[in-house]
Amino acid sequence: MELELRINGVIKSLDVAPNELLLNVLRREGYYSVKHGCDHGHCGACTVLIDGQPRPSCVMLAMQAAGATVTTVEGLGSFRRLHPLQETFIDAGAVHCGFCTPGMLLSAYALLQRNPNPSEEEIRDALAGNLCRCTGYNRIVQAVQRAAALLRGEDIEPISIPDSGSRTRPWDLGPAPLEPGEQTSEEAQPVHAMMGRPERQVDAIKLVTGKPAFADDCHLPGLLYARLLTSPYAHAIIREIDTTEARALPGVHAVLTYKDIPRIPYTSAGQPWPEPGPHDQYCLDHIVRYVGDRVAVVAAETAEIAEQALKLIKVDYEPLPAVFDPRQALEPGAPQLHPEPESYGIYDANRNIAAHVQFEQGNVERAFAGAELIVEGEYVLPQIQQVALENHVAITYWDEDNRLVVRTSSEAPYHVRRLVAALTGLAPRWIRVIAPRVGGGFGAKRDLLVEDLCALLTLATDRPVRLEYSRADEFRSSRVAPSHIIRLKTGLRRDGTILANQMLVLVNAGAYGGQAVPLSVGSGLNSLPLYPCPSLRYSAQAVYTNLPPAGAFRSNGAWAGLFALESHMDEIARRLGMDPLTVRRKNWLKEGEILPFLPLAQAAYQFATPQAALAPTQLAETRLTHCGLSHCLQVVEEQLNWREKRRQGQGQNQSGRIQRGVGIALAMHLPIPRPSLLSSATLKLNEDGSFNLLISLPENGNGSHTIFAQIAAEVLGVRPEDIFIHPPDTDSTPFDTSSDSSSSLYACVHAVRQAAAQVRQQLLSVAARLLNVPAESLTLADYVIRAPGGQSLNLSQLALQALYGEQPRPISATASWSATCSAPTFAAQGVEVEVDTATGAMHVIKVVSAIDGGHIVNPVLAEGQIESGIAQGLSYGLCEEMVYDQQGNPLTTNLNDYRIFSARDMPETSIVLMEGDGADPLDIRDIGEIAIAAAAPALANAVADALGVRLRQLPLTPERVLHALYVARQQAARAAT
Amino acid sequence: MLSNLLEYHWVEDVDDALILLSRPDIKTVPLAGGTYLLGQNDEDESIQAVVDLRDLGLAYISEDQRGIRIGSMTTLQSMAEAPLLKSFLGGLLAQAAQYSAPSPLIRNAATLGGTLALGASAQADLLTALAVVDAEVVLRSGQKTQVDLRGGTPERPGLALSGVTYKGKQERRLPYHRLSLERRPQELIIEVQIAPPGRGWGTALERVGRSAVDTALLTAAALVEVENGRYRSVRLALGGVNMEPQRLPTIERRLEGQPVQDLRLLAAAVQAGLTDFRPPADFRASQGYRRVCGANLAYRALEEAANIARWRDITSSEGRA
Repeated sequence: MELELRINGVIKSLDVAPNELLLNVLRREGYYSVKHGCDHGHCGACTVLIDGQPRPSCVMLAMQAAGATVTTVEGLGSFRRLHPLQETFIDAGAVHCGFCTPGMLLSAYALLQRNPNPSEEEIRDALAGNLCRCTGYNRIVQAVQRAAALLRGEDIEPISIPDSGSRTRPWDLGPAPLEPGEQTSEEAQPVHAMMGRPERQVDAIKLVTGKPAFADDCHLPGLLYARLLTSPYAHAIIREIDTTEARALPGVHAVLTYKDIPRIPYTSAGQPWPEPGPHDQYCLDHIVRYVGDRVAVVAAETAEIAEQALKLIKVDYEPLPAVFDPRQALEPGAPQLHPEPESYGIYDANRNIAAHVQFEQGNVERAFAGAELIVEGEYVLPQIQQVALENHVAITYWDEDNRLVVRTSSEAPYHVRRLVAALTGLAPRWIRVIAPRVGGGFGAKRDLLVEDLCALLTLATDRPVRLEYSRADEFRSSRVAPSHIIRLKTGLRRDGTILANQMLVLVNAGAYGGQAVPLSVGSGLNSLPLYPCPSLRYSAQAVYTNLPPAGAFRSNGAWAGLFALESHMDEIARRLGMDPLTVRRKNWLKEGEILPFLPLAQAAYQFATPQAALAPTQLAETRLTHCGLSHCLQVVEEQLNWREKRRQGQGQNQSGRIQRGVGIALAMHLPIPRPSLLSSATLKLNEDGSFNLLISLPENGNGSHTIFAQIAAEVLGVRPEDIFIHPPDTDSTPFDTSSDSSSSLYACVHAVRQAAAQVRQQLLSVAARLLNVPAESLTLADYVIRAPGGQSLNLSQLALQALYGEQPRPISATASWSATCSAPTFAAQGVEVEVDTATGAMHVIKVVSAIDGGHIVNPVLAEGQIESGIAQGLSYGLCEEMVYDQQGNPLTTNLNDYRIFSARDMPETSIVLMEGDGADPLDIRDIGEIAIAAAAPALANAVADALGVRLRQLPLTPERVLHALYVARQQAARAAT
Repeated sequence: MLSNLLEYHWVEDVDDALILLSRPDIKTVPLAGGTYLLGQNDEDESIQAVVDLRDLGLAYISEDQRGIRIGSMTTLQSMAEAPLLKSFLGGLLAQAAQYSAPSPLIRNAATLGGTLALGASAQADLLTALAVVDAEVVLRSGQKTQVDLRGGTPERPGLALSGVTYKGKQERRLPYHRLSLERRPQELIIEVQIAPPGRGWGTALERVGRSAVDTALLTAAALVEVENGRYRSVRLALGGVNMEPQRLPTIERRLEGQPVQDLRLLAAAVQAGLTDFRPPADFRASQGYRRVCGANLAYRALEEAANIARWRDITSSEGRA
């Protein structure tokens, strides 16, 4: 049908099918700012303005827009002239991965058009339909407020940056020498002081203007659309599969099943070679092990034809008994998920144990026997979904040199190349992986989910192929953060001293154990060391069940271990009749102590990858050189007004309908030590004095590329915007074992700094030759190299001389960094909550977070990371849970049934960043993972304070709260009689 | 995605819509906002044509002596923002429309008519509010006289009418609570009418969700009229996600005529009346939770509505005096 649309003021005559969605038509026409996120209108990534009103274009036929004006972000402002909203989004740090940004901007724009002076509540309501997983919304709200003020013609204050402790600038190269008579002032601050400043995100402009920055933002001629047929059974054998009709359907170019490809055991987890996980997965198999498991894949001319072809594939399944609870899966006679002999690296396939790690020090049983008090508790965490706004997507094609190009949203491009090579039979040199940008990953995009099938389809058809998950696919066939059952047993003296601690963990690994080893390690590694004691026992098993495979979610289960431990610490305090903070202070980790759990991680890797194991001496002597727990807790205690509010809580005013409480939890994050954590960076000078930085760590919204630019700029005496970062491309960017939480960032930061230092040295030696002075006497700052005698060269002059002058030479360097892990990060977090005792509903009033995260390169980005962690932590603490029916069918397959926090849910936050003492100039630590871990236990502790009732199972749904209250009242009534 | 959709029709006249919808040979459905129709995981492959209703002039909110009239194509966001609805019945309908979809983007598209047509699938608080205000729904469809349109009509030359036997139009009104049972497949929802309350009225809407903007696990809506300190009429409904709103007549009858200030009586009436309340269970909430929470929400809604009504009754009595 012919359709005339007025898009961003331009009238376009289009030929559309009656059933074409507006989203698809707009993207087809090149409006890539309009994103595909959820298919139901729930996430807002596809927002467009229809006659000025924001609407989701994924649930709107293109024909519905006939006669209307359509506005996308491309029409809001250009990079030459940004709209005030685009400006303030950048300044306020409201742009992270950028996938939700265009929709967010349009909703904000529509609001300001009809209401120039909105209240905070009105802003939050206007943005409630635009979900964001990378920010915590508060900076977005702040950006809208600032834009509104600008549009009203008011002046706005400079952007606020988080409080800090004693901030130091370890890499500060010293101030630029002052010219005679020159005065220092704020305006005259040297540009080289890039560290610790809230620099604008270097890639923000392309994101706020909706440029095609993501893997799916391109269109190739002859592109085929792939769709995946998944299993309707939780466990079954495919007796026969008939694709004749599907292949015969006009427009279908390939149908692949297990019959068409070799059966190669692999792990989809994108981890360094050799992967520590069991190799228990097959690209397409004749056994399906969960509802949503791969059965077949189709490539066709259109997505509709591909979908239709799926329905024509006849599959004869022989259902097998299934098991969903890891406790049942361990029982004798339970259905066995991996009896096949080809799989390897499984700890105990007969008992469904994918991985098992154990650690013990001291004599635990004797310590328990001698303890004056034993406190035990079982804590249950649900299976949750990472919910990156961008779904998994890959586009594969042959390039002009007959090499296979894989354009993907993966966080681990080099691992993708290695795995695709193994599964397609192509040598890695024939594969090129490009990862332009990741629209949120959180761990789920470390796994190879679409790239292998997409590549096989290109091999089968010789055509470009695109395979994208739908939101329902993400819930059914992606990776999940696993459910945990954690038992804690603690032996104490009456004075609160912990004598022995035991943590037993059962991880529901799902159908495949790719991440089973790190998940088995993670929950203990990041919790038990908080309270060292003479006797310690940790045992974790990752158990196969017929549910989606477990993956990472902002760490490998650290949040699970910390929820259990930090809830348990409050229980201990209650049993002792002590203040929970006193118990913590009495037992916590101190500087100079040995981190007890590093050998545990080592042991896990020894089992899984003996050839890559670390030497025991490497880790056994690791002592904690810095610990900011004390400072963090003190800040949170004060800001939360702990003493005063604690007196009011404890369920003391039980007659009131609304009860308030406060809770605090501590957290630590120590990346799992890798035998081969390696990052590299290449930096080269351009003729105009700018630089290209080539790295293979994809930007996933954590601001890593801005941080790299700041670090290189600091060393090279230029502005970060003159460092142009090339996104990961295995053909041109150097090797990296990305992406394992922000430890990859840690390693890459060092590689960038080393490369920058080498380039700086080269610049100075060329300048020394040109100026005829010793290189050591030169300074480089503000784009100028100066000699003591007053001679100077600016970088562009130097570049021309270096590249075209006498003795020409390129100015470039590649550096790498290899390490086992970064120093641990510490945090304290406090939550104030209000609970409605009539319904069990909860309202989080305030969150205070203090992070000891080493040197902060960019405080706005750092705060954004922490705020997003708080949002995710509260979100899974309150409402996130994957639910299945008795046959293993997921019941939560959209973002209405599976709720994540929106702008309306986010409480006031107060974030304090504790910086290091500057003693170690390389003290850059992970901060992306820690905030998520402490929010939920602090929340549960606050609820216990409010109600006098302990909830040991997440999420704290209204029903669980009401039920716990009911049980407590029944018990109290029984006790009274 | 409607994979078998062949036709897309705009109409400017309700009769045209009815003609298209009554075609027996091509499955045609009305298209209001489209958020539900296009957002389902399991698409309806039988749908071959849609009729876009946006040009029918059915997006309006007006008031006359019989009360409020809301056109079926009025969006939820328009209802949430309309000054008329913010004041009518204490803003009950505006508030319920606001809650009916967590996302303003959806509210900008979803309509009153679409919400009514979907019933429980709409997961909308608005339905509970409509149940409690005794809304009437105006429907239009064919009449007894059949007109053979096989030759087409001079006024509508562009329509594909071959083989269509059009029954003309017929309009009728249904009380909201009978809509899902009695609405015929080809009947088009035209508007909703709500009568104004008597003197001394009060309303309340109470709800609970997993988060601030979640669909309601449970919603309680109450409309109470008070005269001389006693309940003159009581209307109470409970609804929620995947639930047909349910009125609680036992509670309503027990309270009518009773003194408003007696909260023990209110509690007793709610407890006794909730024996009729058998909500469904789903993965979000069990039946037990909904029953316990329903009692709490019902009590709270009635208490609040009664307080407002009592105050209004007192002030209007003083005004008369």
